[in-house]
Amino acid sequence: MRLLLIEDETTLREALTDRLIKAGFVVDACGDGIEGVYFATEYPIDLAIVDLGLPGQSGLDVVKKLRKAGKKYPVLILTARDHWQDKVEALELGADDYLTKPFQTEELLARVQALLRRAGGHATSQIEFGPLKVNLTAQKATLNDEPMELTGFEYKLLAYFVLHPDQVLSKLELNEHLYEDDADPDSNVIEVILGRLRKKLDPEGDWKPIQTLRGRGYRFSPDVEKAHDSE
Amino acid sequence: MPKQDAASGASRRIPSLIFRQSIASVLIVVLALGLIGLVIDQAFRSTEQAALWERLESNLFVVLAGIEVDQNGQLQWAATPLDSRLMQPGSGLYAGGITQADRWFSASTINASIDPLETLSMMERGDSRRIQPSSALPFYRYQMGLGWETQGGEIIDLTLWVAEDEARSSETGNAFRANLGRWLLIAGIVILSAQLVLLLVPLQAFRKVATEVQNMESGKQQRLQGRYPRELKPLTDNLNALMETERANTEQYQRALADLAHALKTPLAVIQAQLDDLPAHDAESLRDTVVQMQHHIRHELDRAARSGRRTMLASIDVGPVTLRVITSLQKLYPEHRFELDCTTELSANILERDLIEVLGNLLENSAKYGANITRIQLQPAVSGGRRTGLQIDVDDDGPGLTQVEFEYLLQRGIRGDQRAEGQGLGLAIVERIARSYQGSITTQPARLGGTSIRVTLLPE
Repeated sequence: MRLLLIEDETTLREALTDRLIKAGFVVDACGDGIEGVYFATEYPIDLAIVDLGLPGQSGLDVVKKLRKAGKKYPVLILTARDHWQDKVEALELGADDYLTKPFQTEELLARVQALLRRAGGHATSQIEFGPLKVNLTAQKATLNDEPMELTGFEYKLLAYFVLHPDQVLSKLELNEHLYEDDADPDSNVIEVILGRLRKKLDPEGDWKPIQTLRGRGYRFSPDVEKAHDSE
Repeated sequence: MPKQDAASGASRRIPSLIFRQSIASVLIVVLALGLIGLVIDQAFRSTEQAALWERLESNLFVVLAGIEVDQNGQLQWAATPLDSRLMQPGSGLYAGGITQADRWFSASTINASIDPLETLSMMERGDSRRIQPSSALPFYRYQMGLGWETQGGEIIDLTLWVAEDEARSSETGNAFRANLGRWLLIAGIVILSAQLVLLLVPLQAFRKVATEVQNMESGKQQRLQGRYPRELKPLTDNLNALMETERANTEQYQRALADLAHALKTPLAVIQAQLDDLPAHDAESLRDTVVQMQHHIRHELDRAARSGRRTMLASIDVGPVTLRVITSLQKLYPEHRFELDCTTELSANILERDLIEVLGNLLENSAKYGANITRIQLQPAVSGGRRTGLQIDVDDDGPGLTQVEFEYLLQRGIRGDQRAEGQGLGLAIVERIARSYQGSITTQPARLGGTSIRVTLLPE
């Protein structure tokens, strides 16, 4: 998942970036509104964390502009203004949630997870597809109630798939959302990790939750009935 | 209240402009018309007197032309026509002639009580006198002493007199004065009425200002909008400028507070974010300090925001503002159901940010703490003044609060010793806002099974 963090206070930005990367996110961070609008509209962002008091352009302007540009991903506002009028204004302009400064990083992570989950159409942090259960908060997955042994990248790929079910995801798109900018989009890394993930999800090879669409990409579209039949 | 007593006392001491102007007008008009009446009366009197003497004098010469004196001093009337009043008995105009031997009286003296005139004494030859009436002789008299040369060449002393009854003369004067008085009274009424109208017309502008200021006070309008005469423009323009400045100052003040909040809280957020790198024990104690500081900052900024309130609260439409809050909360709690019961035209003199703050805190609390449905009922609350207050009832089907828990949460928020943002802080904020509006926050018997809170906001 690729997050955009727009926060002008350098120490806070760096500390939050570290925590978000540790939590498995790809993070684009910047310190002013103008650069923020560029990132927000030009990069394949999955969620933006925007501070309201920004130099250059206010956080509200950033939200307004990215919504105007047709971006529908969730936006979490960081604000020192804890009055409801400010919250209502931010939510009306297109923000999806707010967090009042100062906050605990765990709460920020929980809000980010909840927003991503809601954007994927899931009401709870436990997402189920037949025998597969993914807990987005605990960042753990089970198959037939057995814990799955997943590397960090494997989990990231799986989480991205479960949050975008039945969607065709190109290799480039997966690269952009799961890797830093300097990763080579033509490398085979995605294919290698995907191969490993497929084996772990479908050791018998008869469920095939991730389909390859030649020349177009991949689609996570698990046949829940078939999975039950195979059990 | 003492303030009101003082105000009503002041209004008793200072009478209205109309009253003062009316009294002044009445005094001036009475004085002016009185003087005019006096001057006209004096002019009439002197003219009348002059005419009277002239009349008496000419009558005397008519009598002189008609009278005959023989050698014995006997007086005889030649048949020369006289002023008809001299011929008419009791007409008030009398004439007579006196010699040593005889006295002659005009026909008008017949049956008239002119006793004093009958005994008039003779005058020196060549002497003439105008004599004002006295209590003994209430007649205007003109008399002349003459020497009458008889046919024998003898000179006989002759005194002629003409008199007019004082009562007759003053009758004319009284009639004139009564007439003059009537016309002066009519003129006075017309002048005073015109003055009153002239006074009321410019006062219309003052009345308009007063109405508009009243509307501003009750929040129905933000500035004076009417067209005013040039003389009032400095007042109305300055009032508008004052209101504008107050509005700008309030906005600037709120902006400055927001900037201050940002400047204070961002470093706290930095400290908070770096706590994870510290050993657990140190992190915990620092975290507590950060929360304490956070609460103090919020409390003080809140207090500062409240002290920067505007004096004249605009009237806001409550329904749309509430819907904004509900729509925003629906975004955060999509599964929660909010039911609003509010008449479309409900309005109240409350700051929009205060209403949003109260509703935001109450509704988020119920959405946050286990409820599925929140019902919001809004009704006008009577504050006694010109401004309309609001009664907010929020019911939910959550686990509910006992009276003791409710009181505790309010206290906890006020004391500021809670460890995390929660219901206590939210309720304490609502309580502070309610108090600033002379209102209250209370729990009610639960109608949906959960918490039921009533907040009243009563603007002064």
